[in-house]
Amino acid sequence: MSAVPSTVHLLFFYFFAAMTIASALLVVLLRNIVQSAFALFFTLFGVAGIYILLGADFVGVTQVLIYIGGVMILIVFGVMLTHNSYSVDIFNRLGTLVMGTISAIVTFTIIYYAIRQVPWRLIGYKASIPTTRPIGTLLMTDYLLPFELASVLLVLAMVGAAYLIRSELRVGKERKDRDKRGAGLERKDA
Amino acid sequence: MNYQLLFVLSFVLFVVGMIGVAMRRNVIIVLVSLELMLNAVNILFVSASKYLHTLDGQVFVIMVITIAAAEAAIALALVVRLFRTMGMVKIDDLKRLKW
Repeated sequence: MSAVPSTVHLLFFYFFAAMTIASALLVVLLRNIVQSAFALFFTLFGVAGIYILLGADFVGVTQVLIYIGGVMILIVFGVMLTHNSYSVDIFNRLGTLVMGTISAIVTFTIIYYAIRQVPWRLIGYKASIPTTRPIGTLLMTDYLLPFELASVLLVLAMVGAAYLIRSELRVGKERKDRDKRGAGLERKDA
Repeated sequence: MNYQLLFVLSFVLFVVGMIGVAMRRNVIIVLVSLELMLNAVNILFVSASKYLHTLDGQVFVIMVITIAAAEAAIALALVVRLFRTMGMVKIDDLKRLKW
């Protein structure tokens, strides 16, 4: 497989980077939560594009499957389940806005000057090899314990999320029963 | 293309997420901003993995994605529960949990 010319590579990089940053700004600045959630879709897609440009094909596909296919759906469900008319004006007070912007700019400046100090190499443009097989080998040898811990964590998260929603249903039913009993008592008193 | 560009992209994304966490009042948008910050760190991991010619960074990215998915599931369950209890999902309402 021949190498991709570096100008094309750079153009794709700028395209995905601009898409990521612009839609991330939209996520943070749009007032409507539903629009923010859909802007996040483009951010995650841009990040996946950057992974694939860097030759990380497996991570890019994982990003598309888990973030865009899983987390995005969860977030859209969360937005839909908690949407009401109060949730349009969502900016905090002016003081918080000023403090947030100042701390963000200061952090970025410090880190930017730190990375300017180091002379980084250029990225090579040779065609990348598939990474799925070596990553699988690493997961089953060097990183076996974190891999197993991650699966335990996933089971815990799944059970926890299901418990949180289920117990809410039970509490709601009890409250409804109590209200019904209360209403019955009132009627008897009257 | 320089590695510096990638790092700057990662830090810009991180700072945008930081602004979101600091500024927004809706709990869901704060969670989304946290996801943005996690994605910024993942870009850094993948770039470092390419820079060092090893795949360990990409394995870490897979771990981070796993933890982000678990976090999103738990956090959104909590948010839905909060909405059913309090009727809104503003972050100022969580102050009531202090007493």
